[in-house]
Amino acid sequence: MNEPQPYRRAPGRDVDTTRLWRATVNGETIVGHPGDTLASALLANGVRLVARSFKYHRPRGLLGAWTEESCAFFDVRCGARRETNVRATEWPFMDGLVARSVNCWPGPRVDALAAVGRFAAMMPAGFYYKTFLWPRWTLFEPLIRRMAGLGRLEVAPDPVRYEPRRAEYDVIVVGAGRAGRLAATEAAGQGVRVLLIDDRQRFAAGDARVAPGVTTLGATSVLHLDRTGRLVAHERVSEPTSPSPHERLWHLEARAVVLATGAIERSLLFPDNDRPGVMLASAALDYLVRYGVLTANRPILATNDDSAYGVAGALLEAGCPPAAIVDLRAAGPALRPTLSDVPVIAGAEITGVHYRAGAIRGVTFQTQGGSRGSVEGDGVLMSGGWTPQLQLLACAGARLAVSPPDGVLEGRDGPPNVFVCGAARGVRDALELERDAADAGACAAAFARDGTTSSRVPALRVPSPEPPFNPHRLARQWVDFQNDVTAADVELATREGYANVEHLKRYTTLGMAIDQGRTSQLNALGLLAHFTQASRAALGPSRLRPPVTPVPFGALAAGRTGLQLAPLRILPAHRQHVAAGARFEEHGGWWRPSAYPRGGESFDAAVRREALVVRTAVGVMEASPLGKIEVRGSDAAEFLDRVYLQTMSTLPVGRIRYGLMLDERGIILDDGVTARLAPDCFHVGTTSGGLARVLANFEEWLQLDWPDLRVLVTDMTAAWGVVTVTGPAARALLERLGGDIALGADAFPHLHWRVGHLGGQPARVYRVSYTGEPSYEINVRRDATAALWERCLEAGRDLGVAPFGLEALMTLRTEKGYLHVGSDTDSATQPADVGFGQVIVRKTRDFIGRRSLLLPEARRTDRPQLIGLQAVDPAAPLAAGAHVLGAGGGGELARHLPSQGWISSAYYSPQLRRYVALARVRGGRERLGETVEVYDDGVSTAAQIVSPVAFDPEGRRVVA
Amino acid sequence: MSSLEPLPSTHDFEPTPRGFTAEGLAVQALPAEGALSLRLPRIASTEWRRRTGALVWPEATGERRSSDGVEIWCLSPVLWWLFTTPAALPPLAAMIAEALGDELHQAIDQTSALAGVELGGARAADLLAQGIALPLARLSNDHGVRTLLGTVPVLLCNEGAERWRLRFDAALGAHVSHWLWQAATVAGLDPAERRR
Repeated sequence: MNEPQPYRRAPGRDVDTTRLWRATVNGETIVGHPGDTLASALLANGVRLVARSFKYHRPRGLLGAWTEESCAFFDVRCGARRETNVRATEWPFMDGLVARSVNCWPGPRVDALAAVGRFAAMMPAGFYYKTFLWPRWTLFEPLIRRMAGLGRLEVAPDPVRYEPRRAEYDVIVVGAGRAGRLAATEAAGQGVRVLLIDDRQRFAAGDARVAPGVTTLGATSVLHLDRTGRLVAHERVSEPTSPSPHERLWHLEARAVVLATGAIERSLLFPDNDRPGVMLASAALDYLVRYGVLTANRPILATNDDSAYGVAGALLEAGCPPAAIVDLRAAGPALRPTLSDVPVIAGAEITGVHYRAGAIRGVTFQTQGGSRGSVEGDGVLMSGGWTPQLQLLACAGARLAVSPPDGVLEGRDGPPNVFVCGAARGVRDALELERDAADAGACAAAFARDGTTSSRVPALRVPSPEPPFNPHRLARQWVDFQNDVTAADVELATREGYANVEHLKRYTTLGMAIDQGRTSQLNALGLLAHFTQASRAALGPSRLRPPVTPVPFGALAAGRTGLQLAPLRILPAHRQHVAAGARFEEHGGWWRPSAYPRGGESFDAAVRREALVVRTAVGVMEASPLGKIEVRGSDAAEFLDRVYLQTMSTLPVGRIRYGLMLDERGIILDDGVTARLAPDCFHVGTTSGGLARVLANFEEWLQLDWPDLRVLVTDMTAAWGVVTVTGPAARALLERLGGDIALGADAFPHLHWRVGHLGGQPARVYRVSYTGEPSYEINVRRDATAALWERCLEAGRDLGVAPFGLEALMTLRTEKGYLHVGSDTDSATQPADVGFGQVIVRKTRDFIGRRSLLLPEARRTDRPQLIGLQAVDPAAPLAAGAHVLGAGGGGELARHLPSQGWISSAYYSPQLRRYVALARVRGGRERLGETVEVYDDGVSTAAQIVSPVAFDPEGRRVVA
Repeated sequence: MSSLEPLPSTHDFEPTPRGFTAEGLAVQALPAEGALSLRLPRIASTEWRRRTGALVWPEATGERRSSDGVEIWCLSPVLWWLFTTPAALPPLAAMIAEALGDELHQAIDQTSALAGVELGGARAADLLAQGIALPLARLSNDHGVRTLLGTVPVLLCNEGAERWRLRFDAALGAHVSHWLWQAATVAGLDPAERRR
């Protein structure tokens, strides 16, 4: 190879050095080999400065070698694949790869926002929250919004094929390191079905590392484990840079789970520990063994743990002798022999890192005796002890705690079917690890086979020595590298009262985001204990939550994108609507016509024409989505009295009554009409979108609160289709359909129902109106709906009939001031707010929500009340969402007035030739006639508060 | 939802499910069926079973039994569904009403409420496993279960070797068709519309 890779010293276990690939990183070409990661290729090419920190834009290098990496994030592009915020340590190197560091511009070497670091003192812990208090949030908001977030989201179509999969096994072993493989082998040997998962390795068929009978799932990260043994995992089926990338989201079930998830090395706290070239010692060893890459030519090891000596030995063997080992422990290594060729400075802590011209030049240190010194070197490798990877155990319900007096990390109250082994259990000795893993595998197999619980403690006890406190320049000691949290931030947070570990996390963002505290949590806990003079046991680690590792949204959504985002219901007469030129929209989970534009007609023109047709002739609408529930039983009337604001038990058979359903807080849940079909049977109508909620409430109340009531509730929505005929000529149209139902105004008055035949179909007809015109809802069997629809249009041709959509319906009901739950109500709306106060007073029997309606809060006269608004200038438009302000604040002044309410519905009324609007305004009903300002998106309009009913206030038309 | 992605040309919205084929897979819509839902008392006597003559009733929730062209599902101790041909349903409903008398709390003709599809082929179970949480391998012919396909409530049964039936809200026919089509695509199959 004639390409320079100054730090590539050996072939490396995972790379194929016979092939050379090129990639562009931050505009510069680097080379690497198949098997490299982006991180290892960067290091091999001598690139140390790879990122800028999140908050202060400090130069950053690589900290780790796999999921513990918390600095090096890139936006990458390879062929059609674009991915945002990938870890350089996890993303494979690929020929033609283009990568750009996030959070810097134009690049990490020269970053325009690096100046932010100079103001670090002005951005302490809780800075973001403090901007809410002083001087004011809006001052900082534009800048913070511009700076927030990492990476650039791609809007191009995602070429990845995301596949959801499910499987079940007797035992699932997470982690295919030595302990995991041994545990899987032991379990499989006992005749149970075993799945072995690893997030880093890929397994070939007949992989010699895996025992026969063990199924493998490589390149798969487990995201969550629950108490019952269900796991969610993300598999990268193909390499992410494959021409046809393929990923899977697995839902797995296991009777028993073995966690062999290993441990991650912690960083050490010393000034400037975030400089490029300072990394975890275990990561340096990983780069050397897997990729044949040296991270420094003359590294300095800083440690409080024996494992650094093993790294030093490996480096020596690779021809890269460490400059020195700075050991915090006065006694030096406990178990390992010192290396004769490597000087050990025992009982010393680093007091500074010399970083000049983009490279580390050495460190200064101070011994416990107070003497100072320095060591020259071009890299610093930290080894601050090991943190077991217990996120999955915590997800499964175990409570992690640091126990006194020896400070061991414990998982308490874990489920009995989860067994931890290997380094995740604190086992580091090779022989002991073999025994431990085999025991875990055997216990898991026994549990899976017959539920045998073992004496093995399913959780763990891992020694966790208290991290030493380094008193030098706290503001330069980074605890959380990803979120730029320093020891000084922890100190400030505790001074400001955030002395609980969960408060500290939220106040400083320590342990949040991608890193999830992998390298920082125990260090932070030690600092918190130091600053509060409390024990770590009393403080405890913060709660760990899923997902354990970042997962693409595409994988989480697997199978639920686009049309599959939510079930979409199609109307029975869908083909007829399409043929009539309908424009559709989703409404309450149904794909419904919003209008039927004709020829070159605009959408708005179509809506106005349709609304006028209903007012002057007759319109037809398919209303099949209306919820239809049959409530039957000897206690049906009693039940409905309890769940509706209105009294339904007094409703005679053959009649219909409007009702409001409330929750326990007196908030409006839904509305609809109820028809009494028989003394013990009611048809309850709901809104289209409210059906599921109403049904769930009915079942809950019947099964949990009133199991003594003899009532059955059945959803009939899917079985029935509905065609609504409405307008002055509606009756005439129905008469032309032919049938045996008497339709005269006296024979079939408003709010009554009849059963018989119409248009040759068995039908149940409800005379109810949402338009203010005479209306008939014709219910037929679902498969007869399309024929009835066609028949209505044909029969009404000479009456001027036209289909109308939801937009026209909304216009018509707004003219009449009819309530639309969801538009004119919100999660605080009570019946009195929308004009049903008298019903509450009249109803003496108890019903759900009644007690809340009698509280003083519900009786306040300044609650937002439903009123109508009429613009002073009839040509002025009114829009839903606009704020209603006090009078006298026209123009630019208006925006500074406090809002007194908002417009909840607004439409142009072709009948009245002006906009009609419903609004919720504080104390609105007492303010009829008052002129207010309506402010919307910079435009202020004068409007008068009027009655909600803008058309036919006497209601004569609907009963005609 | 303000806008929707363009639909695959083979899956324009239809009120009924549409069939397609792929390697190791055939999906076809079920013909129209008569369907009847029954609500019975929480603690029913055994007498009513005898009174319904030749009908074979399941013994437990999640089971189904077939006899004389009538398939009966027990979805809970108080909720039962019967499937037969549309023509056979009215006399069957009348017979049951008469036989059960007061023990029948509610009988509702659900004939037009449901639609269905049948999946056949070696890959059918793989496809269903993308959206169904139940261990499909454990479902025998005698099982008839109410579950979710993705987010859609379905009635699922195994019709024998590599054959499965799904019944669902008729209004969701297009959605289920599209789900199956998408699942086949994601699974690396190459679905093609069945000629109508």
